[in-house]
Amino acid sequence: MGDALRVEHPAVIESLPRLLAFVDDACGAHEVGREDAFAIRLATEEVCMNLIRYGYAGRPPGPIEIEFARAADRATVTIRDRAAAFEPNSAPPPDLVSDSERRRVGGLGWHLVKHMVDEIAYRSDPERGNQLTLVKLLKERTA
Amino acid sequence: MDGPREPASAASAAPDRRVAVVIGSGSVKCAAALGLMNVLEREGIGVSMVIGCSAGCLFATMIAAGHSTEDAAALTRRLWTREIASQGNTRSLARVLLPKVFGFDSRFGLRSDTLILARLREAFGESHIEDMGIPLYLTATDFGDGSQAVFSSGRVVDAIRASIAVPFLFSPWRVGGRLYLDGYMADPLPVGVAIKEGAEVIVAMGFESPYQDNVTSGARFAFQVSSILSNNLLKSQFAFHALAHHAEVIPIIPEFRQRIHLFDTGKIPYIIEEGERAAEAQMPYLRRLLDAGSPTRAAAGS
Amino acid sequence: MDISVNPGGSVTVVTINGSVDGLTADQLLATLDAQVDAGRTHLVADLSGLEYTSSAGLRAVLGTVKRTRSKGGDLRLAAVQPQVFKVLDLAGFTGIMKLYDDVPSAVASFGVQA
Repeated sequence: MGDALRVEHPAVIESLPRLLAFVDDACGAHEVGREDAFAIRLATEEVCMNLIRYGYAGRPPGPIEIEFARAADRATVTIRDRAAAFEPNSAPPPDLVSDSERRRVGGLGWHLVKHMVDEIAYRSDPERGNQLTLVKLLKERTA
Repeated sequence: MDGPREPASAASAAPDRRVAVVIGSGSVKCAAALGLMNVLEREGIGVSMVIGCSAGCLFATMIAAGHSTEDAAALTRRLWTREIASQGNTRSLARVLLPKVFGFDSRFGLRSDTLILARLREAFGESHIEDMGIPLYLTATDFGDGSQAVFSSGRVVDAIRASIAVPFLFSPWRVGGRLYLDGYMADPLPVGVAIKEGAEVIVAMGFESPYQDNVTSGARFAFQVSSILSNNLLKSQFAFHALAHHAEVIPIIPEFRQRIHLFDTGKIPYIIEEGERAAEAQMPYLRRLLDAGSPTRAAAGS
Repeated sequence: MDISVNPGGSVTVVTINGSVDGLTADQLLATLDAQVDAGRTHLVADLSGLEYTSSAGLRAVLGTVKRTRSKGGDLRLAAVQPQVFKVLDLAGFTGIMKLYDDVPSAVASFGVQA
């Protein structure tokens, strides 16, 4: 089992580059192929953007924690937060983009996530918060 | 790429907004598109592109051919603009043309395409999509990867035969080295093609697949599953396209109080009536859209 | 992400290099909006150097496509890289937008003197 790497940042848009850089670096350090790294980064970004936009809605932004682990045939990204239980349809803040379009784009994010990774598991409890686990089966196996 | 085409000349010139007509999958119910055309002609609304899917390809082609090349145009244009404006003539034209394609019964042997090919050739001969008077786009589904295939050139017969290749009914059809299946499998109502080709107002005539009342056999079970899938696909694709388009997509969905079966060509006059009814219901809105001044592509430097 | 704009004649080429994500998408949209506001509605996006986009980038693209089309123009894409193409395709954008192998073809597609 590969080493687990972990990072934590507040759930604000300014954190996004740091969160994505973490995932990029982790993939690089663990020799994840380009295509797989692209998919992992995209799926992670879509989940983080949902958290940043809606996760802590109405409350001060809490943390987003990302953990990366590599096994021989897979990479696992675990995203944890302490927001209210995840509800993709909770009211979005008003925006230039029309409501229906925003909902459509939010749905698009999940659509992409489902196509980019092989397994998605979600767990939530009042103590530990929410945990979303993304598993990407890797095309190139390590020795 | 083709040079710009002239829009269809209707009896009275339409405002220069590109109006596209999309005719979705719906077997013989697609004849309702002729009712739609009746109403558009009556309103003097010119159509600048036609898109067809599955059986809708037959009607899209006939509509596009109604404004075909010059030597045929004189007669056909008179037929489509003046005489077609009255319901009776549309019915006669339909009775003449359509039974040749649809005039077979269940003993026809659904797995053999010999007869339908012969009839398509009889109806359309060697005519090519790119030669039609109105830009015509016929959609099918790539059998290898499920992607939507859009035929904007090539033999009409090939494109139609590809687009009506209903799985398990007709074999997939080979065109230019690829195999194709019924267009409905990629998108039963290909509004996206109209969006991509620069249409402004899109009039989309679509049909929901009927649900079975009693699923009492394997075949009915298969039809039910197929209807569920294709209706959900129809709705989700339509929702996406409606959001992605910068202008209006007007859905026209005829309601049939009588049950229309696959080969019910005797009901074509009724089908056309329902098409007219559904189209008329949307005419006030369409009129408002077209009459409102708006930027046109003609202004964009051609 | 870095963006450069080549106003040209009737067609404006916007070159987008690097990555478009949730943070940089706003900057992309602002740049594209500025073109449309300036009356430049025949746009080509040169994506030969774009390595990554998320749904945020798609939203900027779709918004611009609709704005330009509503003014009689269009946004067309040139030299889309395979991974970005995959995202566009998953989102259904390849069915509603025009894509070209290279910038000259995309520019020529507008049928006006570039």
